Amino acid sequence: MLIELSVAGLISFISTFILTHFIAEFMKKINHVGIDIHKPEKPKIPTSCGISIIIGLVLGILLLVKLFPNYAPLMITFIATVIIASIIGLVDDFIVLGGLSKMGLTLTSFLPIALLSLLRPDVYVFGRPEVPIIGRLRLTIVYWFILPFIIAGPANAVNMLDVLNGVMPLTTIMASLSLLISSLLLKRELGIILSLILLASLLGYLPYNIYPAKVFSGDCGSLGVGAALGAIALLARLEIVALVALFPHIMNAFYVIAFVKGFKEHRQFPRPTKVTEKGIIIDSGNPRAPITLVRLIAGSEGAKENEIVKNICILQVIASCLAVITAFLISIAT
Amino acid sequence: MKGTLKRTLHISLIMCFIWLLLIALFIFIDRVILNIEIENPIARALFRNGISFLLFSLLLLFWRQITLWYYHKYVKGK
Repeated sequence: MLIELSVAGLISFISTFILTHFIAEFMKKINHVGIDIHKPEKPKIPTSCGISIIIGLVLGILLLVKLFPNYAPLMITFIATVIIASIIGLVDDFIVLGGLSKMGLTLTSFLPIALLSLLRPDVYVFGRPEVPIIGRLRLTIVYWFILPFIIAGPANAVNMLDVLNGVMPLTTIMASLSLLISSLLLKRELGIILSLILLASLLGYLPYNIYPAKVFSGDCGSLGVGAALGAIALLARLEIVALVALFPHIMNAFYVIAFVKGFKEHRQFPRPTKVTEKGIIIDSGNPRAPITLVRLIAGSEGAKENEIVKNICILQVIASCLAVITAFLISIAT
Repeated sequence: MKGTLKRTLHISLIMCFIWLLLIALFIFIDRVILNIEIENPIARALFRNGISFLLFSLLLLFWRQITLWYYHKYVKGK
C-alpha cells in the first residue's frame, strides 16, 4: 500500500508542479490576471491557476481507483464533488457570482455523496458523527440538516481566507496533514489515501503561490481544495476532526458572515484593511467593514504581508494540533 | 513581543477555549440532554434537536461576542 500511495502522491505532486507553470502562462496569454493589492507596485498576477491542484489531485486519485477497488465508488464520488466545486469556482472567476449564489451553488457539490448514499448504501451510509470522549453521537435529524454544509462550509471558508500570498496552500497543507495523522490514528484507510494525495498536490502548487506569489489560485482552486477537505471529512468520517482543523478558516468566515449578516460578496462591503505605500497592511478602521482574521492580526500598527501569513500559519499549526488531539480523544472513545 | 504575534496568540487562546467549550457541549448533550426521557417520540426528537441546535447557536453567539470584545478592547486604535 505504501509504495502505491507514494507513487500516486509523487505523480500528483509532479503533475501539479508542471501544470501550474503552463496554466499560468496560458492565463497570462488570455489576460486573465488579478492585481496583487497588498504589494506597493500592484503587480498583475495570473489567476485561476489553482485548477492545477484539482487536476493533480484527480490524476493521483484516478491512479489509485484501480489499485483499491473497494474504495473505487468513494474515490469517484470524491472526484465528482471536487470537480463540481471547482467548476463553480471557475465560473465565478470569469463571471462574478453573488455571495448567496456562490454559497447556494456550492451546496450542490454535496449531490454526488447524497447520490452514492442513496444508490449504494452497501458502500456508504450517512452515519452518526464521532465526537471526542463519547464516541458516536446520537443526533441524527440535526446531522441531516448540516450535511450539505459539510462540503459547502469548508469550500467557502477556505475561499474567504485566500486573501494573502500563500495562505491557502500553507493552511490547507497543515489541515490535510492533520487529517492524515488523524486517519492513521483512527485507522481510516480512505482518509489516509485522500488526504495524502491532496497534500502532495498542494505541495506541488505551494512554490508558485508562496510570498511573493507568481500565481493566484482563484476561486476554482480555493473552492475545490475546501470541498476536497469537506469530502474527506464526510467520506472518512472525520467531521469533527476536520471542523477543528479548519478552525482559522471557519473563524474568519464566521466573523464576516456574522458581521455582514448574510452571504455577501466581498465587493459588496468596505475593505477591512488598507495597504500603505510601504506595503504595510493595517486595519482600515472602517466601522462598516467586517472584522476578519487579517484585520485582527494586523491591527492599527499593521504588518507586512508575509508577517501576517506567518501568524495565520501559527494559528493553523495550533488548530491542526487540536485536530490531532480531537482524533486521539475519538480513538479512546471508539 | 511584537503586536501581531501577541494578537495571534490571543486569538489562538480564544480558539482553544472554543474547542474546549465545543467538546464540553458534546458531552453535555450526550450525557444530559439525550438522557431526558420523553414518551412521545416526536416531542422527544423536537426537544433533543431543538435544545442541541439552541446550544450550538449560543456557542457561536458567544464566539462572536468574545471576538467583538477583543477587537474593541485590544485591536482597534491601539
